[in-house]
Amino acid sequence: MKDFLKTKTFKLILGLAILMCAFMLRAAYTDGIAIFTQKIIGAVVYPFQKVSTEISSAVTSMLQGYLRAEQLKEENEALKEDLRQLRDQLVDYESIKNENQLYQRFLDIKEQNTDFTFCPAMVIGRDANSQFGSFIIDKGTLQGVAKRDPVITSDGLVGVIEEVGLTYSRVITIYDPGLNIGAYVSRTRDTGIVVGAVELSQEGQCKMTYLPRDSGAAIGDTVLTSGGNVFPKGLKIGSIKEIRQEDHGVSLYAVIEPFAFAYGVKDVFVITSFEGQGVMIGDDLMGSAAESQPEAESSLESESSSTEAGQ
Amino acid sequence: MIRKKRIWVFAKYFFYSLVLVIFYAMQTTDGVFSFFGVRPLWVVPMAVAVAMCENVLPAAVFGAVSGLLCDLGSQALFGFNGLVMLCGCTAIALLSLFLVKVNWKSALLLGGGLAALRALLEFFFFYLIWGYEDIQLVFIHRVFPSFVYTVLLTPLFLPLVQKIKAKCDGKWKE
Repeated sequence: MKDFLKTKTFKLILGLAILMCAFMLRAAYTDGIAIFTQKIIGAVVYPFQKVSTEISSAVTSMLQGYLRAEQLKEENEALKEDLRQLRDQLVDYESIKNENQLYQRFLDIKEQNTDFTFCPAMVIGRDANSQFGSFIIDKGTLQGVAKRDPVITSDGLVGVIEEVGLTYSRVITIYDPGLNIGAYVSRTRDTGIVVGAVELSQEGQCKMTYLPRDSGAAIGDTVLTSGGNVFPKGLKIGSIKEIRQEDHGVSLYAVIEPFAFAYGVKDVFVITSFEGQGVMIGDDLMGSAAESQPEAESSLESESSSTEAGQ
Repeated sequence: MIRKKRIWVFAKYFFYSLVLVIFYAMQTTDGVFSFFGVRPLWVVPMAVAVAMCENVLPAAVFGAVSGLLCDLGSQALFGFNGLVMLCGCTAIALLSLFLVKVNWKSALLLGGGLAALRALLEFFFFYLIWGYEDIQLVFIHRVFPSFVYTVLLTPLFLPLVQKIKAKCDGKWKE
């Protein structure tokens, strides 16, 4: 063993270990901006990930076809007559229709929020090592994506960009306990913080904390983002499933069923810019819920006043 | 002879790298070999198998690269898994050279040890110490099943790496 410690190999391995420590320090210093090595590795594995995702999708759809063969056969018999009339239509009609619907919804969001700039992206990876449904998308700094850009689908908010490389980005979802989102209940205007909870995340739910005890929020109410410099105001988050009392008894919390199911999304939109988007100071986004609440309230107030001023 | 050897040694490491990247792509592809939402970390057993069959330096380099690949997709700080895997694979290579027989049982044992160390350290530093509520559920429902799945795969990688090594080494020794 003593001999090994004197060898050149050991010195090289020690050098590698120091390099790994340097990577960690650099990663911590850049706070989510992919470092050069990360970008290179990301660029090398990106084509493989893309191919793998496409093969997986093709195999899944093929297997589903086999599993549903009997049902499809019956449907096929019943639809034969209709298919004759549809022969002239394009083979890829269904895919074009789906794409069209997706973009139609996108257009609706765009029309409602003219200040938003979108970047459509495809989910190319979900690492087995990641908890709370975080995933990798095929857009990065080259397409204008930046850290902490909100990520949505036509159904609602999915999460936020946590790490960005040249051609990829990693998204953390609203199930993540580390992500705090200033929010309000659309009917009662009660404000709170939407945050992930480990137990609820297993069922695809999150919670809205710091609801006042006299809150009139009820099951079925819609929860929206209250706005600020990370999330624009009015993004749909989810609906209230249940209202419970916090352990300390001072306030209530609501169990939220998000509109967008982040564990299963395939296509998303990144909001690369919107009115009021600013540079975050310190750890506002990943800070404690308690610290974030006044900010959520003040951001709601400031957004409201700016809207009034605009009118 | 030396030229021939160099070519086949290069080819061997090229094939190892290619297999590693392919397994990484499988690791990050949603739904591939997923059982009840649990997926294995393919690159860990691959690195362990290389460490058991190769010398210390290549084992350390492959361990570090595998760890960095793990870091790309996880919430860990970039370099964290790289460091853990570097140390782990170096230890496995030394054990395989001097103490342990290279067979599927030792692959299971060493792979299990490294996968457990990696999972526990990552869980501790990136989840547990942040004091999230009910964080043990993440360990029970995600980390532990993924660890078991990874360990069960470990012995399967050993013959694959041994085959690549035998093929490439055999070519230049001919």
